[in-house]
Amino acid sequence: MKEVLIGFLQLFILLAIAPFIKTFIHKLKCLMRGQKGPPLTQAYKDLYRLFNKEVVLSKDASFISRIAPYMVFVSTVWAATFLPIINKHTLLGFTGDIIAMVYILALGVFFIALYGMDSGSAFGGLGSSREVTIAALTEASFMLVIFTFALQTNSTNIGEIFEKVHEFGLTAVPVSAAFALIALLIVSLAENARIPFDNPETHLELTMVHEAMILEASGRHLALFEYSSYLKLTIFITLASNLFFPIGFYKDTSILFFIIGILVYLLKLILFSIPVAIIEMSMAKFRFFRVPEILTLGFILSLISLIIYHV
Amino acid sequence: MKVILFLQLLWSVLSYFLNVRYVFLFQIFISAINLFIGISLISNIKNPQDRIFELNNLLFLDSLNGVLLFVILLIAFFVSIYSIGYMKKEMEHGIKEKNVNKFYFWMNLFIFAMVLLTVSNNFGILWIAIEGTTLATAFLISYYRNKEAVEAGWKYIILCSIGIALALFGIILLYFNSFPLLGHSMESLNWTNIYDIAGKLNPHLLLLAFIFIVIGFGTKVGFAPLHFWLPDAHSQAPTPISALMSGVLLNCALYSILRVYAILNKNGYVLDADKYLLFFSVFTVFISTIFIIRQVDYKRLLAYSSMEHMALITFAFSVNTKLSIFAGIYHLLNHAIVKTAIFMSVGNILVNTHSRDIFSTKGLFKSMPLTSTALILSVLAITGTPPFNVFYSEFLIFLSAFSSNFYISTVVLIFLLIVIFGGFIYHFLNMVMGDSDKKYKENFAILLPIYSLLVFALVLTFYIPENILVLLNNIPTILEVK
Amino acid sequence: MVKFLVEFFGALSLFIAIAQLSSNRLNLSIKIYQLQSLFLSISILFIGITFNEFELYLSAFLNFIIKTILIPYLLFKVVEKMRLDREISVYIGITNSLLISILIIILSFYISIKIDISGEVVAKQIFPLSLGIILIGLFTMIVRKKALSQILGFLTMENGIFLAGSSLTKGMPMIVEIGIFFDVFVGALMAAIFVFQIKTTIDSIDTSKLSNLRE
Repeated sequence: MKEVLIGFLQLFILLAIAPFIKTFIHKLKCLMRGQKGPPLTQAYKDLYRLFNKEVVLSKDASFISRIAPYMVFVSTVWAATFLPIINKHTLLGFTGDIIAMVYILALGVFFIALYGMDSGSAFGGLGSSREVTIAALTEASFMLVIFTFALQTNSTNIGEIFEKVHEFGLTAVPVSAAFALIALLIVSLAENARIPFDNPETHLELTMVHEAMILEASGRHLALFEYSSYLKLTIFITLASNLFFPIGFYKDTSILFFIIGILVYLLKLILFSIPVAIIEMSMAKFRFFRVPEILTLGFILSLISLIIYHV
Repeated sequence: MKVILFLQLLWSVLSYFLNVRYVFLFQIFISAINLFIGISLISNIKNPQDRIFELNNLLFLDSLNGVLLFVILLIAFFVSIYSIGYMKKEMEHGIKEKNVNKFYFWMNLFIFAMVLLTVSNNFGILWIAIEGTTLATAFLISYYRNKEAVEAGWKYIILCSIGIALALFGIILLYFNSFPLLGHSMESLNWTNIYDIAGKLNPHLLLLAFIFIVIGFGTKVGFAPLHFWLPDAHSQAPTPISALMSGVLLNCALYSILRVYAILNKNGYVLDADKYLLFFSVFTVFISTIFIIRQVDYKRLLAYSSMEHMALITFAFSVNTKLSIFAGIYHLLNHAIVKTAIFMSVGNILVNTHSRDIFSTKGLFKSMPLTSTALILSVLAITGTPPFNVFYSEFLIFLSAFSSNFYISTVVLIFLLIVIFGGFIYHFLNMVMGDSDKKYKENFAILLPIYSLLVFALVLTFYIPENILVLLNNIPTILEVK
Repeated sequence: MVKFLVEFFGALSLFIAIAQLSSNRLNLSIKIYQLQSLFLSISILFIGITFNEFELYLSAFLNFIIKTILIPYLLFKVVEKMRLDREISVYIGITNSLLISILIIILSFYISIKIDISGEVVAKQIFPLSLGIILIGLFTMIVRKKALSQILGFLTMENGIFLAGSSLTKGMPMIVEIGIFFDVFVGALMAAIFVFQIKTTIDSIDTSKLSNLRE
């Protein structure tokens, strides 16, 4: 019973913190540019506003457009139920492992791509094809990074991986870790449609990827899409922070450890958001032809990390 | 040794500032003094164990580098005489005085770096010196500032820098191998110290270090797949520099490999090290044969010939018997002398006709009889025709290889040498024969060093000076040949 | 912990060497080189902390001054002064060369398994890492056409050698180390002058256009 409660709590934390992380990165970028930036509650307000608006659907839209937002949101939340943040007991942890999580996230990508093509607008199709290209290229390197850690800890269960990483620390395999970290960084930026692969802030026809697909969405549907993208970003940052900053993951389930765990977790999230903001500040978006090259770099780094682990 | 080094360094700086006329005068003077000091130094060495140390063990002289020091100073002396006539001709054709000063500055710095390389006991200093030779010659190769010269200079600096960087890695591995035994200090990079404890070194690591050093310094020697800079650099550089590079610089690089090879031999547990040398030598002779046959540029042809002779010397070391090592070093000496002579004679042709094309040069016997006589004599000498010394040393190399069962490679090499002989005779006869209505003035300062070198080459066949012979006999013991 | 940091920054240097292969601008390449030298200096600094040797501190400091500040400054000046075309031209495409680089890394790890490195070594993984950096630097020189990129490849190699030197052997003796620094700096300077000469003679720094000397 207690474990189920813990699972709910962790899911709740993830859901609650996700919009904050997005706004935090945005705010950080604004501050670095010398602008004032939105208040940290901006994303919550946006979501609230969008949920209250009605949905407008194109008359050419099929049932796909009606179910896709829910499918995307559900698959992202489903993936989130596998992800422990401070304790290894998660809501659905017994039904699937880290590989399941990766591919459930891919299910969301599948539906969002379908949604882009469904309404028949030119931008949607364009965005979908780009998104699928990127997703196909990142998949391999993401899996290799995960395998590195799975082999290291002899498990594919996320909870156990985290627990063992926190037990041993990274000092046993620093070289492997360095490469895995950078590979994961590249993968995360690509999967979450951040600069330098995509710019989440513009709606410029030629460059947008993620935004192009959800251009047609409105009201509740848009809110669901936005919310799942916040959640996905948070999932990736959580994964990275728990793998590469092994502090604050406890076996103990007392209240005190929980509070410490949550605080450390928040700190880690903020710490890992800063590099994302810095990269977005200091780099320009790549031309789309350059994206495969960088993703190859990510693939190679993940492969190296796997090889080095074995040496 | 430090006297030679100091004089050479001081003189290279001075030669940049002095008036050209004085530079011409002092150049001969300084190089003669250096030669004299060098000979008096090496005549102190009698036994294989004799080592003269200087400057806190950083500099040393034994039989192996004694021979090389002698070769460097001798060739530098003759090149100094020759360069005067050559540079005077170039000034007539419109090279500025300031550039002549620059030429002497870089050339003397080049000689300084080579002497430092030879006498340094420390692998670190040896590395710095060999990089110094690269840097000093880079601007000499692009001296004429045209498209080809700049290209040759660029190739030279890039390829040699890569090679030398790899060699540095090899030296680091060597140091890594030796410093647990010798302690963390300058001493554990000293050749004499490493050599003394060679039996205790880790053979795997030693072999890896050797491979890196062979590839690295091999670039500078001109081993075949790494030789691309060599013909370009030799053909584009001013001829005195070509002579120095081909006669001495390549030997210096080979010498650096030999020092490590000696350590390997003494260690005794490293197998197959000589196989690498054997591969490189046969392959290099093969490649240079191909390019010699179809060559149209006579300076490039000579560059390939230098590669061939370096490879023959390397072959002698890979055979690794007492006789072959003796023959190898003897060949090194002979090749340096004869190759310098032949470069000087073609240099005299080049400076007058301004064409490096073999087939557009005709009738040299008519237009400059003395130079072309020297050219034909030195061609006969370099291709190993009796009675010249090169024949004798090549004969010894092949004899030793045959007696230690290197049948296939010896036969292949002899065949290739015959082909090279044909190529040489064909190309150079083409140049000297035929009709020509031009008549060039032949400068005494240019002809003197050529003929004296040729006479010296002839003498060396029958009589090796006592001091040098002692050194040559000591070298197999230094290289720890069984 | 120090060992962790040494290896971590060593690994980052190798990462940077690979990233050098994926750069498509001269300016970016120089910046990448700068970053690599910075990581190298940090790595050497940590090695220095392990052994507490003055020479290693000095080496880290010199590395920082020469390779992170002086040489990049020189190269930036060259790019700026000669108004070079900033695109990079290659013989093998970026994606393919990245894929080849993985083979290089495997090779360097394979070699280091073959030789057992014993003795007083601060971090065993550094040996294959530095070998990887050296070979990738060499590879960069092969696949890039522009003279300046080739210089950068050479400097990358040099960095790898330095990493090997300071991690395997507590640094070379001081005189040798300073001599090497001097040589590298002068070498870079002269190569830059050569870039200038090439630019003035063929009006480009594309070395594939330097093809007059052929058989």
